Amino acid sequence: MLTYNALSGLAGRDKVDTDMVSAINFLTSSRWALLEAHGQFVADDGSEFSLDDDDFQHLLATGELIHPATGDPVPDARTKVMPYFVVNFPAELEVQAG
Amino acid sequence: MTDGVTLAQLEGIIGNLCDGAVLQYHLAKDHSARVEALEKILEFSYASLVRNSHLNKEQGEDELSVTIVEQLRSLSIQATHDTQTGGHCDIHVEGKDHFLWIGEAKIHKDYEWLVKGFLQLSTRYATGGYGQDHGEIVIYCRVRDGAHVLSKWKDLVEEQEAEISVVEDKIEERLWFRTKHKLNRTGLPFYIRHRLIPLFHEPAR
Repeated sequence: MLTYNALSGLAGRDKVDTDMVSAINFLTSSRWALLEAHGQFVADDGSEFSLDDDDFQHLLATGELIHPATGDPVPDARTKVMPYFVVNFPAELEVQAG
Repeated sequence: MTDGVTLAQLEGIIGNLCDGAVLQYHLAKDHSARVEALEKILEFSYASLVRNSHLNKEQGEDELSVTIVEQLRSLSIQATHDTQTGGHCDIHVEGKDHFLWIGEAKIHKDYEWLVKGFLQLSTRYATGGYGQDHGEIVIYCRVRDGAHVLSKWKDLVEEQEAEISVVEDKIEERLWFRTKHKLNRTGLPFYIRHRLIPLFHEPAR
C-alpha cells in the first residue's frame, strides 16, 4: 500500500518530514498529479477498513467519522485514519509511443 | 497493521494548517471538495490582510493580491498572479484534473469598478470548462461599513444582470455572497463568490 511512509522510503528518506509532505502534495493536487488519496481506518480492536471516499472527505472537512461496521461516531478519528494513495496516471501525461 | 501515518501525525509534522483545510485541499477527491477547501484557506489569507490593515493601507490591488498568492504558494498550492487566462487574472489557482479557480481583485472605489471586475471575471477569464466553474471577486474595501457596501453591490448585481441569481448569502456572517449565472462561452453554470475584505482602518485614537 502506498502510504506517506512507503513513499518516503521510495525517496530514500527514513522518515516523513515537511519536504516529503510537500512533494506528496504536488503528486496529489497539482496539475501533474499522479496519485489519488484514500483513507484507511484502523479501529481500536485492530480491524482495518478502507473508507468510502465520501466518508474520508467528510473526515478531512469536519474531523468526524462514523465507524463503518458499528455505525457509532469514532472519537479522535484523525488519530485512527491513515491516508494512502493509488497511482492514477493522467492520460495527457502518457508518453506517445513511436 | 498498515504502516502509515495518521492524519493527526501528519498535522504534527506540517502543523494544523488553516484548521486542516490545507490537507483537505491536497487530498481532495473532486473539484467540489477542492473549491470548498480552497475557500477555507483563502479565509486565512484574508484574515491576515485584515489584521494588518494598518500596515497595508498604501498597497494597491496587485500588492494585496500577490500577498494572497504567495501565502497559497507557501502551502504548496499552484497559485500565480497575473497569469494569462483570456487576459491577466489577479489570482489563478490550477490543480489536478484540469482544476482552475480564478480570482479578480478590485479595491472598492465605486460600483462601476466592481462591475468591470465582474465582467472581466465572467466574460474574459472564466473558461467554464470541467473543474473550472468557480471564481471569486475579491473586494478590498477601505471605506467603513463593508456589509453595507456588499449588500448594495448584491442589489446592483441582481438588478443589472437578468441571468444571474444569488445562490448563497452570507453577508451578515462572513461578508460574502455567491452568484450563479450561465456562462456565454459554454452555456453552463458559473459560480462567483463575491467576498469583501474589510480593510477600513481609521482608529479614533
